[in-house]
Amino acid sequence: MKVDAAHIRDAVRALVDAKETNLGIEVMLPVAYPDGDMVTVIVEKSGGGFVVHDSSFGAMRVTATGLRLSQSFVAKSKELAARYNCSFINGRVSLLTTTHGLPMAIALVANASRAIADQATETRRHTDVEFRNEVADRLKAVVGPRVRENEEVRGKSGRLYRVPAIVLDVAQSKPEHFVATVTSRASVLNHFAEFYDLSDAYSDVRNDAVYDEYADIRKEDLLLLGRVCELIAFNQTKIRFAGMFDNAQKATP
Amino acid sequence: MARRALRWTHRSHGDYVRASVLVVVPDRRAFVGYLQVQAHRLRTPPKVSFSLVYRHERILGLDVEPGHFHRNLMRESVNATHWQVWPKMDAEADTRKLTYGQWFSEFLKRAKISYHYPLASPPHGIQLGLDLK
Repeated sequence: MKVDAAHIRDAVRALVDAKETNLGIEVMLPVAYPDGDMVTVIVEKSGGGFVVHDSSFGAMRVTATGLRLSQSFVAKSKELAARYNCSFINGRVSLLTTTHGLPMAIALVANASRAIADQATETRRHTDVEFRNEVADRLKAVVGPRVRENEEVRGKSGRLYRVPAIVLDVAQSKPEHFVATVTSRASVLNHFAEFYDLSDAYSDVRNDAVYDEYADIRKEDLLLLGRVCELIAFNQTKIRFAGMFDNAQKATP
Repeated sequence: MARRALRWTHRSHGDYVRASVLVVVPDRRAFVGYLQVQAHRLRTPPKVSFSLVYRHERILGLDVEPGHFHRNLMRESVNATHWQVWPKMDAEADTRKLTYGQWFSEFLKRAKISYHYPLASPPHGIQLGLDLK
C-alpha cells in the first residue's frame, strides 16, 4: 500500500476525537503515554473566551501509581506547566484562551498534562522499608535466628545508631556483622559517619552495606562508603550472603 | 489481604478523590503493595480507576469510564471500561455495566485480594456551601 502525506494526515486525524460531556467538550488527542493511554483535555466556556484544562486526569495517572502530590511534586509540576504557559492548581492543568488561540491551547494543555503525568514513570526504586525488609529476609534465609533487626547501637562518639540488621555469631552472644541498607545518595554521608563511629567502638565487627543499584548512588559515593564498609549490590546478596558468614550455618533457636 | 478499610481523601486534588490501603501477603514481608481507588468527583458517567500497585508499578488496573482512548499496539483501540495487566498493559475491554460496588468486587476477585471491611462509595459532586440560618 502506498503511504503518502494524505494517508498519514488521515491516519493521524483519526486519532483525534471530541465529544460533549458534563465537564465540557472532551478532546482526545494523538498524545500518547507509554502504556497506550491517550491524553484528553476539556474545553469549557469562560466569560468571552475558553478555559482548556485536563480536569486533573494527568495528576490521576500519577497518584494511580501510589505516588502522592507532595509539595516538591507540586512545585516541579507548576514549573513544568509554566513551560507550556499553563497553570497547575489543585492537581489541574489549565490555560485561558480566546477562540483564535483554542487549537494551540488544546495542544499546550495536553503536553503539559502529559509532562506532569510522566513524572510517575521515572525509574522505580525500592521504598526504604521494603528494601530493609527484603535484605533482612535474605539474611535470615542464610543465618536464621542469628539476625537482629533495627537494634540501637552506640558508636565511639556516644551517638546512637539504629542498625537495620545485625548478624550475631554462631553462639548468638555478640555481633559479627552490622548490615546497613543504602537506597539513596542522600543517605551516603550518614552511613559513612555511622560506620566510621561504629568501627572505633566495635573493631571486631564487620560493616556491610547493601545498596540499591537502581538508586541515584554514584561511583564516587560507593568509593567513599567502601572506605568504611564492604559494599554489596542488592542483586548480589544471595550469592554474597551465602559465602559471608562463619560456617554459614543457622544457629539452633 | 487488605489491612484496613478504604478512606476517601481529596487533599491536593479537588477534582478527584482517592483511597489507598496496604495489601500484604501473609508471611511474605517482601510482598507489600497498595490497593488504590480513584474517582473523579465531577464527571458523568463517573470515572473510576482501581489499581494494584507494587513498588510504584500499576501491576493490575481497571479503568471504568476512563474518558480517554487506549491504543493497543497489536489489537483494536478501546474507548470504554478496560483492564490492564503489567507488563503488557494492552487494554482488555469490559463492556459490562456494573455499579461501583460490583466493579470493586470484580477487581478484588481478579487481584485475589481479600477485603473484610464495609464498602464506602466515593463521593460524587461538589459539596454545597449551605449557609446556616
